[in-house]
Parts: sequence; structure tokens; C-alpha cells
Amino acid sequence: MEKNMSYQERKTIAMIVSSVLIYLVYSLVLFLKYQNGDFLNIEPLRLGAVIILLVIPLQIVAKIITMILFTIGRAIAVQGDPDIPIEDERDKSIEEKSMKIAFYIFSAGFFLAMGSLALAWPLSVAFFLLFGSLFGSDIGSGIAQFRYYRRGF
Amino acid sequence: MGKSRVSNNIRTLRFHNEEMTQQQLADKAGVTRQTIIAIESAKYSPSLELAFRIALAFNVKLEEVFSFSPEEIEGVKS
Repeated sequence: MEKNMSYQERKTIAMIVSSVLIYLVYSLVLFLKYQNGDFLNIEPLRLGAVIILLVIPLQIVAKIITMILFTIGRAIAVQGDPDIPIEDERDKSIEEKSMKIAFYIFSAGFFLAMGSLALAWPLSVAFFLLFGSLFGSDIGSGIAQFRYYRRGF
Repeated sequence: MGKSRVSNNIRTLRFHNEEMTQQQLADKAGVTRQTIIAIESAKYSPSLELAFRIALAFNVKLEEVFSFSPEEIEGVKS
């Protein structure tokens, strides 16, 4: 990794790390709850919906916290005003392009999930695919964003 | 992303404008230094508005900063 990373590149890395951490922790909590038998009395369809619906606000909160911590960390590192660069047209273009990638990844996961249901595979497979595509789209867009910033556009 | 078909003289113009730094140009144009670097190295084609703002920063006409080479487009003969 080159030594001179821009503010945007650092921010993107922080966001990717936060996404990985939140999904890892969330998956671990779910796994432990599953092992404890906490989900035995919940209908599988409802459980899947709750798991997927919960991960979205969690992800948003994690991103906000990461952004706050990142800004504080930067202020400490530069010892004063963090001097956050303005978001310009290139940033918006990069964001649009990376969002497009996220959309493609999620769409692929969604179609696979629907395919698994059409093939009468267990419901859990569809939910795993949906959960995985949510994670994949988040990480995929982050990596794409980092790559765009690294090469200029 | 390959090189843009829009080329520019930003580096030369910066040099002739009291060796204006990329950051100074970025501040005048209202963008980040990274965007100026990307434009200068022809990795990113700016919007028309930004192109005008860059030209304004140098007090020159748009065509003195940017030029377009249609002969580089595949299959198009000039």
C-alpha cells in the first residue's frame, strides 16, 4: 500500500473494515443465539425477515459511528482541524459507480435466492443468499470505491 | 479506465500562473486536489461547469485549457 493515501481512500477503508466487523459480530451473535436454541419458537420465515431487516439499521448506525470515529481520529492525527475535503463531482460520480456495483451484486444474490426457492430448496438457503448478497454488495461497493479513488477515477 | 479523449494544458497553465499549486487551483475551482490530479493526468473528464471554472481560474478561454481529439475515437476518420 502506498504511503500517501487520500482522505477518501482512508475513509473508504474505514467503511469497509466497519462493514466487515458489523457483519462478523452480527453473524456471531446470531450463531450463538441459534446454538442456545433462542430461535426454536420463532417461525423461520419471520426469523429470516427480522434478521435481514435488523442488519440494515445496524449497518447505518455502524457507518455513522465509523464516520464520527474516523473524523476524531483524523483530528487527533493532524493535531487540530481535520480539514475534511469537500465532496465534489468526482466523488459523486465514484459514489454512483460503486452504488451501481452494489446494486448488481445484490440483484445477483436476490435472483439466486429466488432461484433457490423456485427449486424448492430450504428457506434458510434463500435467506443466507439474501444476507450474503447484502454483505457482498456493501463490501463490493466499498472495494470498487477504493479502486476508483486509487486510480483516479 | 483508460485515458480520456479530452486532453488539457493544466500543468503548463499552472506553471505560467506563478507556479500555481494543484491545491490552489482546486480551491479556486471548488474541488479537491485529487480531482485536479485526476483531470491533469487525463483520468477524469470534468463536467462542463467545472471545465469553465478551471478556465476561469486561469483567466483563459475554455479551449485554451481543454482540447478534444475526435480522431482518437475508434472507427472515426477525421
